[in-house]
Parts: sequence; structure tokens; C-alpha cells
Amino acid sequence: MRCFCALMVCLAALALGACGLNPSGTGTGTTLRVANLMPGTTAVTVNVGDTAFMTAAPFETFTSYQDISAGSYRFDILLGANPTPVFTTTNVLANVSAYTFIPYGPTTFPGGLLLDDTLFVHVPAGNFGFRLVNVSPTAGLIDSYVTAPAVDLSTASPVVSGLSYNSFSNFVNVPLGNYELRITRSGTKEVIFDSLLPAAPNSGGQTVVAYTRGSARLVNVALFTDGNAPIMLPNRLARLKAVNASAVASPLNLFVDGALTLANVPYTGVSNYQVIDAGTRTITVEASATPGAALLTTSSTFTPATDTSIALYGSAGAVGALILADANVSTLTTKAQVRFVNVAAALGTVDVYANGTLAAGGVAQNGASPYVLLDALAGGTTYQFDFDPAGTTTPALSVTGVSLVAISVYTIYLVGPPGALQAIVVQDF
Amino acid sequence: MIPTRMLFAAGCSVALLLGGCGKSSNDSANVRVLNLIQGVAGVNVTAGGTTVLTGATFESIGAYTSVGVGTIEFKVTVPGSTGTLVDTSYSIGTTEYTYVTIGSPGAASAVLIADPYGQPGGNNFAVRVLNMSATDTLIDLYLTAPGADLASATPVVIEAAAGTVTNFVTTPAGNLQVRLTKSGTKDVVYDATPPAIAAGSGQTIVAYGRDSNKLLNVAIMGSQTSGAIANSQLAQLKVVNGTSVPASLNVLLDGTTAVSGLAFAGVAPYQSVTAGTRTVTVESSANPGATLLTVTPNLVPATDNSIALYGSAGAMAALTLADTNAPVAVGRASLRIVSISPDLGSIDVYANFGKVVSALGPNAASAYSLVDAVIAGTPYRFDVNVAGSTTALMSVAGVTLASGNVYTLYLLGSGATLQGVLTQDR
Repeated sequence: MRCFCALMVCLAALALGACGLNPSGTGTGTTLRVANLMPGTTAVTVNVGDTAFMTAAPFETFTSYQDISAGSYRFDILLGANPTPVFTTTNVLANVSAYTFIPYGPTTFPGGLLLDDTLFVHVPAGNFGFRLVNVSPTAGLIDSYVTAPAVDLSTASPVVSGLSYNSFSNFVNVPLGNYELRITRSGTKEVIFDSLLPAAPNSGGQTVVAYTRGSARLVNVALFTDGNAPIMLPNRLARLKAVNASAVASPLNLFVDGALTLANVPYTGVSNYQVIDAGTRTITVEASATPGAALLTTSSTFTPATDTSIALYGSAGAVGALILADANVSTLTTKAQVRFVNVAAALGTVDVYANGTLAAGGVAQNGASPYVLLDALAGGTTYQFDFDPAGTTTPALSVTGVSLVAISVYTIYLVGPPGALQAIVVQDF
Repeated sequence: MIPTRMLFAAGCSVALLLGGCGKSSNDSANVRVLNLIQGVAGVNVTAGGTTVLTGATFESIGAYTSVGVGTIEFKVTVPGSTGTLVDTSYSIGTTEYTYVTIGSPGAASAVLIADPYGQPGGNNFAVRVLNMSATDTLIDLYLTAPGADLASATPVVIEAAAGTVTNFVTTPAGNLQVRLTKSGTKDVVYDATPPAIAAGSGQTIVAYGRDSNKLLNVAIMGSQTSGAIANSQLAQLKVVNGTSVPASLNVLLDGTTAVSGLAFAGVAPYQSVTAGTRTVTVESSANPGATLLTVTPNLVPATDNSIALYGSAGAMAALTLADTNAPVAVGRASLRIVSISPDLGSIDVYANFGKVVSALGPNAASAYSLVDAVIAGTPYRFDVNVAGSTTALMSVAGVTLASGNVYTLYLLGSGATLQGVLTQDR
């Protein structure tokens, strides 16, 4: 009988350990881990009470479960060396429970979400508990579909639907199986995440956390599966758009791995984002007037769940591509996020002024500035942008009447030869 | 083997427990289901684990089925799908209910309404409206003698709001024409004369859409019945002239002029016409009485239809299209391409340089595509290439698509008249 009891204790310890509960018998049996899903961050620190549970961790870092006594705690999120928390909240941690704390959202409006990883529902044998979390500030309401691979989504039913930003679903029982996970904009079949779903444990829990990597539409997934370390589940999808700032006389065709993806893009034309397969792709550009003759061939890696802009510049014999990783993360404040791309033909480095104030200095030819935050009202704030050759005060181009709207993301392209300079204002989000 | 006495004791305990909470093990409710979920077949509905509808398609109706009482979970599922279309618990008692599902997979919802309607006295019956329309947020119900002028009529039910059911009102029974209008107007969105309505009965008028931008259809859920679909006698029709006939065209419906003087590239907007199989004839306005074309489309009740005319005077043809003018998600517009130009063979169509339609054949329509569109309107340029090639055929620039709308881009004309004509269908 004593042996049996010892065996049961060992099994329980193993089981608890596997699902993140404290098996050591010390403290109150409570554990906590942290997942940094705040895009664009390089050094996030999370203090719980007086203890650091994450220190100077970059985006997409997960800590292991760490012991903590049950009780009420203040959670502070700090960025870089700034000692002032950018987000503070109080949470109560219960006995014999496992938790995940997630810093998320834009750095201009961060949030912190505490997930209780303890399964409070009965998950019958042959099933697993599926939970969806939405911490993407750009995705809007989302639905999740768990289907056999390649099943037509048009007639499928979502497992979780209508999940808003900064919220999580209950655990839903799903039969064990070999599944494809797709996340859509709620009420639509527009897929914003697509990947095979790793197996979940029998009667265990699996939490899918949808977060942004900087796409205005797509999300990536952090997957928390009982008994396994957290993983990033890469989205199969990425997006690209192109801007034709070249001096090529005819419109341009852009091919991705040989498939015509953008057709007849005229000078100063800007495409919408197109969904493509993530990964390393070969980009080929042709003039529509001379099909088959490549003006440019380049290779680029499209990171899963990200947006990429390609600015094409130069002349027919020397077309170049500036490939830009877009940070289409809403500020969630009365700010617009703006970057400046200098693909003008012969202007050299420029300084950019927004309503008379330097917004971006030293934007090199065929280069891009970092994103800057500019005040913007919900109804739009009007700006004048001056593009000055670096170090001068005489604008080579002034653009007036540009309306920037709060929470939006823009790229302003400076294009054209001397005497015909122009700015193309593109709203990316 | 469990002793009989233990089973007896357990049974008594259950009975006591149920009695203690005011319900006996014999208590039951009756539930009937009207399935208005589109885009999927084989819909199953359970209530408290009891199947109340199985293998349903759009507009399937199930008879009253006995289910338990108390807090009952209603689940709407499709075989082979992991998730549920709808999963809601209701507190129900020992009476009759109608459960109405609506929407599409991924965007489905449902309403449960109790059916008791009191005792309408005399030659009266009780009527209410359940507005399940996604188009008309407020509607009025008129019940009149058949053929009565609506101008002087008073609605029996006013302001039936979308997603809700009105109270029952008592009104004289008999042979009645049923009309629904946009609330506060005489703009009829449904019109039918169903079989005579019996005195003493209760009738629930369930108004719903068949993807028209305006019209509604109705299911009449009568008391003590399973209910029935009561098709509207209305449909909508619009006509586009993509022919090379020099003069404008007249279009007649069953011999009566429906559209007159429709110029090349002109669009006659939707008009309500009698549903069913109709004879459409086309004449040149320069030569009235000489028929250029006769077609007999079947205009399904409460739907929108488009006729795209193309060809020459001696070889005119019509492409008859069933339009899907259902609401579109915010931030998106719905778009289809109709190719009726003799200059175009199989084509690919690009919207803002990204492909939206592949290999669309001549004299054909694409499926609907969703494209990004903001409320204020998003500028679009459309490029048409020979299918599978980089050979550009035409461009249509300066097009604005707005969030929530449905559009058709007609590619028509030839040579110098080759052009795109955009219609906003919703």
C-alpha cells in the first residue's frame, strides 16, 4: 500500500511538472512564466513583486516556469534601461496553479495579460483542451479553425469565434487528431494564420496565442502545450507590396518564384499587399513592354507573418530594389507612425521636416528612415513635409496637405528625377 | 450486478431531486427549427443532446420535437467540422419554441423564441414578426385584402428590428396579402398572398434575406405546424448594355417595357419585378417591334439578378447572372468581373496590380472576390491580361470601392469602345 502511494505521488509530481505546476512541494505549488510578445522590443523586463521573472529579453522570448508563492502581486513591465514601468497591473495568483504572463501590444500602448494555465474543465480521454488568445493589436476580432489538413474552410465551423484584442477564450474540448490551424478575421474566411498544429496531449491543454510580428493583417502564433516547452508556430504566410519608383518607361511586372504576382505597376504605382508563402523567394522584375527580359532578379526572405515593401528604383539597365521590413503595428494612440523612403534618382541624402520640425535626418539615397511618431487625430492631422538635401535648409520638395490619421502607419516615398520630384504617401495600416 | 433495491433507491433519489427543483423527469419542451444558414449542407441541431434537426440545408424546417427543460444547450454543427456553428444555452420551460439559425459557417447565429400566443378571440389570429434580415434593420408588416392599395393601409406590426421578435398582435383572420416594407415607408420588400390564415391561430412571420440588396423572403411559422416558406412574388432585375447595336435598346418583360433607351455601356438599375420564369425581349429603340433577342430567365423570389447584353444586332446574347448582394465585412468590398467584350478571350484581372481573377472566359462572370476598401473609398486600378501571360489588354483606372459594398465590373465594348463599367450592386 505504501509503495502504491509513493508511486501515485511520483506520478502526480511528474504530471504536475509536465503541465507547469510546481511538483517540488515547496511554496504554494504555484509557478509563473513570461512570454514577451511585444513587437519591436529588444529588452523587456518583467518584475513580479520584487522579483524579476524576465530580464532584458527580446521579442519572442519565453522563460521557464518559476516558483512563486500564491498571493497578490504587482506586475511591472519595463523597457530597456528605463526604470519607470510602461505597464503595471495587479494579479492574484492561486495555490497549486501555473500561470503565463504576456507583455504584448505596441510600445506606445503596452499591455500585460495573465493566463491561468490550469485546466479547470474536464477534458475527456481522446480530447485536448484548446484555448485561443488574441494579443494582436492589428488583427481585430478573430476566429480559429482546427481542421484536418487542407480541408476547405468555406463550410468549416470555427472552434473559437469573435475573439477580441486583449482577451482569451475558455478551453474547448477538441478530439485528438492531426490538424491544420487557421485563424481568420472574424466572420470571414480570410486566413491570417495557417500552419499545421503540433499534437496536443491526451486530456491536456493547448493554448494558441495570436500576436503580431508587424503585419497589418497577419498574425503569428505562440503555442503553449502542456508538457512541452513553448514554441513559435510560424505562419505559412507573409505579405508583400511594391512601389515603382524606377525610370523604366513601361510599367513593371513583378514575379515571385516565377509566378506573376504584381502586373503592370506604372511609375509611382503602389500595389496592395499580396499574400505569399513565407520563406526565401526569388523576386524578378520585368518591363511589361519586354516580357521575358529580367530587369532585376533578387532573393529575399519573407519572414512568416510579416509585411514587406519593395521599392523599385533606378533605370532600365540598373533597376534596384529596396526591400523594407514593415512595422505595421498600430500605435493605439493619437499618433501616426511614419517612415520616409528616399528612392529619388539623384538627390542624395535628405533631411525630412514635418510641419517645420526635423522628423528624419540623413535619409540616404535608396534608403529608409526608422519609423517616427507624429501627432495625429482620429479625424486626421494635416502636415507639410519638406525634403531638404542633407545639411541645407532649402527644400528640394515640399508636400502640403498630407493628412495623417491616428493609430495608422504610413510610408512616404520620395521619388523622381531632379525637377520632377514627388512624394507618394502610402497608408500601410 | 447492482441490486434491484439500489437501483430503486437511486431512481427515487433522482425523482426527489427533480421534484425538489420543480421539474419532473417527464417535463419537456417542444422545439422546432428553421435553418437559414447558407453556404453549407448537412446542418445538425441538437437541444440538450436531442437531435431536433438533421442534415438541413438553407430554408429547411424541422417539426416540433420534444426536448428537456431547464438550462438546455443548443448546438448547431456540421458533420466533419471540429467546431460548432452556434453553441448557446437557454433556460426553457414546458412550452413550445421556435429556434431560427442564420448566417454562414463562421458567421452564424441563432434566435430562440417562445411560441405561446394567447387566445385571439372571434375571427382573429395572432401575428408577430421575427426580423432576421441583415439588410433591413426596421420593417413594417401590412396585412390587407388581396390587391388592396397600400397607400392608405396601416401596418399591423411596426418597426420590427433586426434580430428581434415583436410581440403578438391580434388581427382579423382570412385570405390576406402579406407585405413587408422598410419601416415608415411604402417601399415593399416582400409581397405574397399565402393560403388563408385560420382564426384562433398564432403566426410568426420570419423575414430573412436571399442575398438581395433590398428584398426579403418569409417563412410563416404557424402554430401547431412545422411552418413553411412563403416565397415572395418579387425579384429584382438590372440590365447592362454591352452590345454593338448602334441605337439604344428597349427591354421588355412579358411584353411590357421595363427599360427604354438603354445606351451602350448603360446600366438600368435594379427594379422590382414579378419573380418566376419571365420572357425578356430586347429591341433596338431605332426599330421597335423587331425583336433582337428573347430569353426566359427564372428570377428566383427575393433575389437580385442582372442581365448583361452583348453581341451585335444580328447575334445578340444575354448573360443572366444571379447576384450575391449580401452584406460585406467592414474594411472589405465584394467584387466580381463580367467579361462580355468580343475583344477579350480568357483573361486574368488584377486589382491594384494583384491578381483577383484567373482565366475568366469570354462572356462569363467571375466568382465574387473580397478586396480591401475603406469607408471613404479606396482607389483602384484594374488591369486585364491575357490569361497566364504578361500581355496587357486593358486598364480601368480611377475606380473607387467603398467598404461594405458589392460591385460588378463589366468589361465591354470593342476597339476604341473597350471599357470597364462599374456598378454598385449594394
